[in-house]
Amino acid sequence: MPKNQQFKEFQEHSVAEFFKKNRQMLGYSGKIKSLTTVVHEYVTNMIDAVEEEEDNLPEAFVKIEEMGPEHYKVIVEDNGPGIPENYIGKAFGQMLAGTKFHRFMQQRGQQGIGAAGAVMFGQVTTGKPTKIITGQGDGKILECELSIDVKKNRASINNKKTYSGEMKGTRIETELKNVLYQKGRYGIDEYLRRTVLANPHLKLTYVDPEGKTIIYDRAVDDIPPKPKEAKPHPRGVTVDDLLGYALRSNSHKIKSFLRNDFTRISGKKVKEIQKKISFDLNKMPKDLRWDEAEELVQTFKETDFMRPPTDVLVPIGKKRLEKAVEEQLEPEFKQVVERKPKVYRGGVPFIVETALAYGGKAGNNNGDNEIEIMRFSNRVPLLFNKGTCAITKAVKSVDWDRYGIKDNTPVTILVNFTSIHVPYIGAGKKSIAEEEEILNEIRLSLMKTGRKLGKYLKGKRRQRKRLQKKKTFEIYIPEISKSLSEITGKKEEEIKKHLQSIVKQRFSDIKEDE
Amino acid sequence: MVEKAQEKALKELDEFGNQLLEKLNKKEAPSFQIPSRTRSNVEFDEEKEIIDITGKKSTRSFINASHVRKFMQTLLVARAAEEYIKNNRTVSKRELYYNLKHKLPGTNKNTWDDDNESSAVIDDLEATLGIVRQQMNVSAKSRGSIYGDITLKQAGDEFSCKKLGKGGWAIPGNVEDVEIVDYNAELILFIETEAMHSRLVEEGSYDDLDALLVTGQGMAPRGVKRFLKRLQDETDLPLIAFTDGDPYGFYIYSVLKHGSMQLAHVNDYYAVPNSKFVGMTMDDIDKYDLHNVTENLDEQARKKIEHNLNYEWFKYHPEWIKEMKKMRKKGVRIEQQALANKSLDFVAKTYLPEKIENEEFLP
Repeated sequence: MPKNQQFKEFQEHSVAEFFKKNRQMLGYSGKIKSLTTVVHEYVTNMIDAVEEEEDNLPEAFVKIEEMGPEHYKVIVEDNGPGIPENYIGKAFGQMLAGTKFHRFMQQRGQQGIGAAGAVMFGQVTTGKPTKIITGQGDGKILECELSIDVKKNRASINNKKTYSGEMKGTRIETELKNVLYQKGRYGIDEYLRRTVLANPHLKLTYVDPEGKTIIYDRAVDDIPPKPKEAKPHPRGVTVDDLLGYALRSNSHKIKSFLRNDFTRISGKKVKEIQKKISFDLNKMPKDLRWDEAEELVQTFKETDFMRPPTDVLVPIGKKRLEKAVEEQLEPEFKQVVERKPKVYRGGVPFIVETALAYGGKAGNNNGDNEIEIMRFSNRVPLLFNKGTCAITKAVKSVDWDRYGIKDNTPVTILVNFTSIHVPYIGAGKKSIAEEEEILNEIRLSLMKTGRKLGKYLKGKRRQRKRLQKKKTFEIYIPEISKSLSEITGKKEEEIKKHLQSIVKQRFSDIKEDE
Repeated sequence: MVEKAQEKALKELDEFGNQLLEKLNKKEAPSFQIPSRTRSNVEFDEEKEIIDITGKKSTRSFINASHVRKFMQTLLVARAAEEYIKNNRTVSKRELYYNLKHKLPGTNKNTWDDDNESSAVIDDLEATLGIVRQQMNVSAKSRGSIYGDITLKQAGDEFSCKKLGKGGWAIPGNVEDVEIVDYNAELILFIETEAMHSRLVEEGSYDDLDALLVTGQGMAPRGVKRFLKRLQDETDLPLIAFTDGDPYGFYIYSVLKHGSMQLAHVNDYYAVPNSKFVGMTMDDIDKYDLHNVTENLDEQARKKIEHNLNYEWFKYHPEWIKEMKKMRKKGVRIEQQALANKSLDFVAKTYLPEKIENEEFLP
């Protein structure tokens, strides 16, 4: 019951209070991290928004301006559908009110706190509103300033200007203080680099505080398939989730709520569940108590359900990821592994994708002597809380040495975890919980990439040896040709050609790219 | 001017090159066969009565990483040999080594790094082509000499080996171009030491014995062995060996008669299987009462006896085995020059004429 209470309180909190209380959890701790978090929130929102539209390839512009000491302006612009005037407040000003919260669907952002948090952070540190410029491609442009009325828990929009001009998309400008721009593994540069890797259809232009422009071109030109909405599977829900769904349900009875709002719960199953539990499922969903929800979740665990459909997941895709890795890391060797969808907690489908890149720009970007790990969940780079993340743990659990991969081997490992429900540790969405099935999947795919690289490295070593061996023949060819020519009167050049072709044939396994 | 022996070499070299070329034209990796010269491939051929190599051959291929260097070196020597023959130049092994040592084009590698490499290749080429180095105008060391009533011709010069002073004619490393013009002798006497050779020259033994006196100054070098072989072949005179009465002297004789293990691939060119051994023998010690001029065998000499006893070509002659066993039993050796104990001319006036007249030989 105290949990239930908490949930209700949570809803009643004002944005300001929520933000203050959960600031750290939301990623706004530390000067470098806070800046990265703001960019992250805007960029993920932006890509999700663009993808909502059919046939639109996302193109983003990110610019960081230095306004003074620990004072920056973040500008993010997209080519999305633009935002109608009356939705601006909802889109940016209200926490938990984003479109995402009510949808059980694989998306980058998950809880709808994101953009509002960023707006809030700007407002708290500078006292200034966030500027929004948006156009829907209809010849009109709307410019306004958005701030959050902390008392009313509502967005307030001021200095509204409408003018004509060609614009399709949205531009956000937020000023921030107490933040710091820095390169390195927690910085924006790295965040964006990784974003591009996981979103090969994204074109990104980035202007850093020094005015340097980096253009990341698309690695692929096709739009990835849209994730489908899917109802939750009974095995995948927590008590919290269940209560949340119950509260928002339109059904009049828990019976129908279960049948309508979940996948794989048939009328027959409802009857089976009813037999196992102590309360009547004919009651109103919103009257579901915490202890009853607990009982239900427990009963779900003891009941057999069909596995959830897994076609609702859209991973990056093997070919796309390969192209992205090729384009961004220009590796000497790459291996992408896409595993079949699996289920964790008995009901949550997920897919693990792994890429391993060797050589080229891969590995050791931050100067530390270890394998570079790039973590992603639903294509969003996870930069922080590396240590607690299932991906990191899986990487560390593999005996890379066995594949001839040492600490200083230039290797980048990329793992993208795709799921409708990512089991984050904390609301900061920075690391993935160590679910056994997840850990296993990541481990298995990593081992496969390791094996492949190991084989490649072995081949390379062999190749080097073969090359040396080939040389031992080649250095003697001129002398032999000359002698044999003098003995037989045959043209030296002809003998040389013959000998060379014999060596070439013998070493036909060696690539001709020396 | 190319001599007959060299003509054969040229023909063999030419064939060798063409054989390689043929393979190349068939797009095969060129290779050639070398009769194996390892000890295990050496045996005593009782029919020919020479130490020979068995039929085992190894292939040396261009496309084998452990062969290619030697392959190159072999061609290098083959090419040079052809040039030496055509230009009528004879080189020493050492000269050949320096002559052909250079960096391989575009590398820091030398054609060879020491003369072991070049020597091995010369031996290989001998075995492969079935000719001796002298035929390729690579001379062996010149050591040894001949004195006696024989007229030879070399490089256009005709000379009698009796009219060249006391030392006689120094036998060169390469005798392929030596022509036997005329001779007046009954036998060829091979003498181990130069000192004994001088003694016999001084005592006029060439006349008394009607002998051609040849010394190799110890173990006969290739030049002397080849010369003896040709001399015996072309004159059909008996070849009689006169060495110290010790396991080394007897071994020198065995090489003269059956050839050496090192040159097993070319013993046909050197060995004279019908040669005979006149002394010194263990029986001589008793017969000529030389007991006071023997010397005790040292450890090394005893070992040498054991080695000799184990050679197939020693076992082939029971007399040899008997002689070695006598030596072992007596524990002494007797030098040729110990005969001087009787008198300086004892060897020339008594010992040799007696033994040769009575044909007191070991086979």
